[in-house]
Amino acid sequence: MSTDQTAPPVTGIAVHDRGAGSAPRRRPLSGTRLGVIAVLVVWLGAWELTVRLGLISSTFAAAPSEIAVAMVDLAGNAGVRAAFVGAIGMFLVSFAIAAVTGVLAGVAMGLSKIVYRVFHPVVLGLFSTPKMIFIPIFILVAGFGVVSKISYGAVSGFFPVAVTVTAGVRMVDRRLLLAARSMGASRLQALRGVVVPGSLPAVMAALWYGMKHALLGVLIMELFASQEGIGHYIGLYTSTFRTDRVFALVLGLAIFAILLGSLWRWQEKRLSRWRGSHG
Amino acid sequence: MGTAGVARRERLTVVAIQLGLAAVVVAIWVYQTRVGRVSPILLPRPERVLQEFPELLRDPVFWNSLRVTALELVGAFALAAISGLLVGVVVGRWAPAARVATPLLAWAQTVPIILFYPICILLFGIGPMSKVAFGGFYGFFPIAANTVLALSTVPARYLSAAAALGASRRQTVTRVLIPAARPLILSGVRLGAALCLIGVLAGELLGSTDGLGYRIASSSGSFRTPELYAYITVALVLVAIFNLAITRADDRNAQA
Amino acid sequence: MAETTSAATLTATDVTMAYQTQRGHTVLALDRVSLDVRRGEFVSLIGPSGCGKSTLLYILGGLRRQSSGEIVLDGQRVTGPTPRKVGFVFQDYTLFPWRTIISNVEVGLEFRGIGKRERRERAEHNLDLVGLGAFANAYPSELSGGMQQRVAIARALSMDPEILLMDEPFGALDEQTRTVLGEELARILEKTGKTIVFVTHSLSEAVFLSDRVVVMSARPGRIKEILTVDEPRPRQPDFSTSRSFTDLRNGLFELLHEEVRAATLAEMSGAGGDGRRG
Repeated sequence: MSTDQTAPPVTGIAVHDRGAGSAPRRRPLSGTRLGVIAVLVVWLGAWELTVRLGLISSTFAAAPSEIAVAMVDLAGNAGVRAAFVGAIGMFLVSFAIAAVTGVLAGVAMGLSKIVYRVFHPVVLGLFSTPKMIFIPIFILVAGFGVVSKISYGAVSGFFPVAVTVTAGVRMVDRRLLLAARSMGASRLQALRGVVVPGSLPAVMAALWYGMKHALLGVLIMELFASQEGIGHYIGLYTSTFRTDRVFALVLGLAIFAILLGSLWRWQEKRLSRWRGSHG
Repeated sequence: MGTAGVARRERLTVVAIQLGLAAVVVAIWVYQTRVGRVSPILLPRPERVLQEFPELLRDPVFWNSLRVTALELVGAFALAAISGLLVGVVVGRWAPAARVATPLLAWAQTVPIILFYPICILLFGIGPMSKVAFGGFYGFFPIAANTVLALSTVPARYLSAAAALGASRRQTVTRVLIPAARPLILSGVRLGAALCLIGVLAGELLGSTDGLGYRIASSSGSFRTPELYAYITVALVLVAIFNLAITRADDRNAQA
Repeated sequence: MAETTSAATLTATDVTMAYQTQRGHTVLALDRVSLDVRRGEFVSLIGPSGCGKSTLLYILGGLRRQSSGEIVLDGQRVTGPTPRKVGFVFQDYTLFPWRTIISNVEVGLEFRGIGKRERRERAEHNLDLVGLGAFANAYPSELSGGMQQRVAIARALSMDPEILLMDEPFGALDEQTRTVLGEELARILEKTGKTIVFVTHSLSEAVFLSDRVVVMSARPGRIKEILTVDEPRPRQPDFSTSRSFTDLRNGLFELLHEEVRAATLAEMSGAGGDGRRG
């Protein structure tokens, strides 16, 4: 499920002097940034007012200021901290598993026609089914603990990685392969010199999808198997109507996800200067 | 003609390997359950699962949960489509808003939306309303994002061509803007519909009182494993049919 | 250029290329084409779209296998790419977008296993030769099409092949750029003395650059006629305004006009099939 259809704006036009090329791009951005900040401020203010004026009962919603206080509160709570760190740790492990297995499977399907034709329909089918209807099976087999959370996260991450890497490897420009062959590249050289760099953007995108889905998988499991971990605290605070704390936990995880995304985009931009006008 | 023969042989090889692998999986399943190495609570015998289907079809509880899920899906999709298109059109036709909204929508897409389900329960209770709200929220983003993208990236040369040919403002919108933006908007709607279903099912699984997702969760909770497998299979088939249906709908529109 | 030996370096004998369309029709792209290319010679292939001239070039370079017939290079049969002797310049540049310009020029030498220092030196030399030494560290996407094609020429030259096969190298460029690049190519070739086989659509380009112009017929591709251009080298820009140039160009136009007409009519009646290029 690639929801990331908002492509970055295409810069277009070959620019010879890079220094001059990047300068005019910054100005509209800062105006945009101001707009973003303004929208966020207005939104937070409206939210605060709605709750403060009692338009929504504070049983069901908490004002931003209350959430901020609850966040500080919870940060001091060792149990919550451990649950948070535990969730991130499980996410990292399941992402690592998904990345390695997904890239291997994707490369195999991308390079071998027979592997592609046998497995790709199956992988694609599983990719587009909501995996969470299998959650009860994971729990039957592996219980409510760490193992089932990590394995479900890994399975969630595997399919988008495998599908995207396959597409990336298969889409490597045939003409570039021909050019390499005309210059006497061996099979291995063509693989290393053309297929690997040519599919690298797709692999990076694949890893990002994998990361997103592994995180999603671990969090769904946290919410479903709520005997321990963050799901436990969210459940506890929901049933005791500590709405501010529920919001604080949710927003804490959301901020983690946004930071993760920004970090990823930043390093991706750093790595791919050559994509200048290819979007 | 020689190439056609090669292609046919290749296709047969592929099908043979696929059938072989499937047979191996089924054989392992049958063998493991026969020998009794796996507890029937984890993995019931295949025929036990098969027996479950006719019972399911006779069970009014099943039909009722199907109806609940379908209604929730309709509500969620209506919510997602209306709000997504509305926001998308407003934002996409007003350039400064598009520039401001693009990073916000991108951020929203990095956040695992499932996190907000507990908040939906707080706000709308454990009944169908929280599923509608959550499913709608889930499906909103691709629809809004694609509409913004579609409307803000209609090539300027189409608009100048329309102006040069004497199109009125209204004609520009109905004859140029909408047709040019439609494929991308529709693919967003399609994706949104698929996500609405996922959102509704996820909500039902995580906390609800009825619906397919609820049946899956409750049959596993009470260790009625054959029923669990039957429900999962039914859910898979329904999701597949639904996805196929929206793909088809999209195809026909794309051709028109 | 001192001794233009008439001994053929690259010979095609009865080369036929047939392939199947998806509907199962057999299309004859090349029909028993025979051609000798001599050392140091510049040969252009010209003909209507779909006449198989690009296909012939790919077969000459060993990048495609012919259905029947034989290609011989310096007495040896060609069965695959021979990058030590034959360099390729493609129509769409095919630079590797993830490599800098200089490392694109180096890449063939890298495939050959030549040490870093030597290949950098040779790449720099050839990049200077095409006048792009200042862009060594830019990326292809930062260069214009004409510049990218010059890089591709430098890349082919840095392999130091005896023969350069060029597939409509200036086809994607505008008229002014292609004229200037053509003159520049003439200048570069004077320095390097390579043997060239050059596929083009442009009559002027063919006459201006070539020793011989091979005119091909509409599908199935056959050699219709070979024109000789007896103009001393190096060719000067004012050759293109001379009487002999105009006569040759007009003659070529007459020859081609019939073929293009035939090809277009065939296409309109639906008999042209598909596959514009090899």
